[in-house]
Amino acid sequence: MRPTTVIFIGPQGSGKGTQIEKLDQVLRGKDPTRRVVDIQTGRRFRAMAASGEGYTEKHVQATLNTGVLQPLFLSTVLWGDAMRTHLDNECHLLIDGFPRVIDEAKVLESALRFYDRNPVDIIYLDTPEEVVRGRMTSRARPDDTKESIEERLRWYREETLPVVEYYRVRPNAHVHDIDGTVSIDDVHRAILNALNLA
Amino acid sequence: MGKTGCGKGTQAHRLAADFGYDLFSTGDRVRALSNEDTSLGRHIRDIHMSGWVPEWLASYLFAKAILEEDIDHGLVFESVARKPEEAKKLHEMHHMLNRSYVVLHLDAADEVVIDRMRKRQRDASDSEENIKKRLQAFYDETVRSLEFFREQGKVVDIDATRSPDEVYQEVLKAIAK
Repeated sequence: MRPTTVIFIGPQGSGKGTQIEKLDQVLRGKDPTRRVVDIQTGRRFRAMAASGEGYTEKHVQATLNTGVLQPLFLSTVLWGDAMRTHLDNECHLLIDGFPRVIDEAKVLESALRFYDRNPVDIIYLDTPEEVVRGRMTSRARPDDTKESIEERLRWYREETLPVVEYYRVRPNAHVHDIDGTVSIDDVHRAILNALNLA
Repeated sequence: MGKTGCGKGTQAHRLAADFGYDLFSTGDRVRALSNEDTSLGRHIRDIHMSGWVPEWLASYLFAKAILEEDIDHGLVFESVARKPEEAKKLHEMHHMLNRSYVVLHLDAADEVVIDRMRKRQRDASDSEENIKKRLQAFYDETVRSLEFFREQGKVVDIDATRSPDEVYQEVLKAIAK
């Protein structure tokens, strides 16, 4: 099995984290000798903010509190750190929470090319806003206020959806449209089918 | 900032030494990384990376330096933001962190820098062909970085055809403002 690169894109609450965990298990089972690297920018940010010590951490905390998208330079640093210590051209790579804007997609492309990781699969978890709102209000993380949820949805609509369209026309990228409204197991099955892992 | 052979390395080192500022050079940072026992260090060694630094790595290096190093007293960048995308990130970062900066453009005609580089010939990388390639990269990419910084009102143009001492006096004037 060749090293795969899978990027998950979907609004918050579309189940990306859950689906990555399930896909991670499948890959480990099918290809036990290869490492699976999960890079989840959102989790890294929350972990960093929780530590709350340095300059970087304070800025992460401030951006999380306002619900605004983290500035590009912060994700560049988080990403670079992750790639510096974990990424090579042999592992399977699962990405969540990045890229959120087209500029980040370009940064990522530069990094994946550097590591000879082509092509990439995009799992687009298509989930309408009403569904996401419902799930988010029942989830209740500390950074989930009504305002921050709306702000992130707006960001997603205006900045992240164009990233999906960007990938549709890139060579070496395959966008798989997955219905994110069905059950966790059904979404998982659809993802495995899309990636020829079923 | 400036073309290959404009003297930015000399000026940057002198400024950093005189004021006790940290000096950031992308090339030096990449060399340091290549000695690390990390997947990135190994990969840099495997592909024998030299000269050309991918955008994500260039941006990662300067962003990390600004965020994590103790640079409150000052930082001199040598060879940074060669591509316009990097320039935008560098600017965004300073803006969001409320740090001021100035871009010194050491301006010299192609003939002047080519002539200097011919005399310098430090090693194989200073071959005629490589000098032309670096000049072409300057016109393809760095000119647009400079345009971007100029739109932000950050650029001071300095005539780099004069002696190093004279250029340094202009550098001091520019940073005193």
